[in-house]
Amino acid sequence: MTLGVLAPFSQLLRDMVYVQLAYGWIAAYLCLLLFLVLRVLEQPAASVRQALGRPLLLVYALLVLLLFAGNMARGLVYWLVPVLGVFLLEARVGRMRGWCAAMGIASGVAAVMGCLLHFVLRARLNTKEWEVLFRTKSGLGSKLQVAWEGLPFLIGTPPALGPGWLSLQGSLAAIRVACFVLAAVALVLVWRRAGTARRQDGRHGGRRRWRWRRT
Amino acid sequence: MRRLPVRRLDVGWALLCLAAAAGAAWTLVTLFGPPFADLVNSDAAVPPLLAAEMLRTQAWVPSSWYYVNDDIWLVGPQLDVLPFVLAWGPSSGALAAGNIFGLLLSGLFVFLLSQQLVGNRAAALS
Repeated sequence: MTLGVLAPFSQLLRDMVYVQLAYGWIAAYLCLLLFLVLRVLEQPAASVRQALGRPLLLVYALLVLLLFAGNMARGLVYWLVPVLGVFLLEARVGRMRGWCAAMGIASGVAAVMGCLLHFVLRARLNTKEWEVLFRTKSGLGSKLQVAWEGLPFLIGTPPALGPGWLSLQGSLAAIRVACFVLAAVALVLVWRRAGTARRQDGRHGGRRRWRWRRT
Repeated sequence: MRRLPVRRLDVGWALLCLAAAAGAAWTLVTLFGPPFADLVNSDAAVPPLLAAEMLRTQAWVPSSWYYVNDDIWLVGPQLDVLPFVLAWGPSSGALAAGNIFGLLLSGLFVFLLSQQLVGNRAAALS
């Protein structure tokens, strides 16, 4: 729905998702991985070994492997570090320790195998002479600064244009910002409503999630 | 915090869905029509060209392709475009069809995640 609402307003969405699908694909791929994690965590398991044998977990591991084989930095930054962080945090507070161990092992092994595949592929593909051209000397700080400065572009107000708010372009930019805020508020409202519904389901005997059955 | 009445939320939800449907329809009609070819740039042209190279070399990862940024395209939009390139050759039409297919696939992934998170099909459509 958010995509639908933003479609007529966001030039960035048009260029980076509808025309150049690669970026939208990366986001969708991460959504699929997250879905698989949540789906796997929903199923009860008696031991780490049993959990590791789940077909869905193997599908998840294969997708993580392909993510790392394609781009190691992307896999590390967008997936492994955040996911392992969450698993460590969950394990620390004592919830789902077994599942955290199983998911951590599956993610780690798949990442290592993906990196190995990446190196094997690199050895036989045309990569070396081109990568030099794209290496940047700037550090993380300057990259974060660029990311912050590019935030208005994400909403669809390219800072390079610099329109006055009273001009046509400025008015359209203001509408885009308003729609962005509205979409964010709508998402929070929906999330709150869904949370209330889920709690009510739980009180009325709905399925219990996040369980780890010990034997 | 005072809660909004459910009926008012439902009306707001229906209006948002209507706006979303109109936005999506507008995009499909205007963007993926004839103007699409004018929007294609060199970055966007990669999937159909890579798909054509995959078909020519009969390889999932063609060794004749140049891979930059340590980015090896294993799973990506080139797979969405592949059947259309096979049918029509590398063209903006094949890219548009592949992108529509890829968007539907991406939408499915996002929907699955949303449904898993909120446990509600209607809310997952957000």
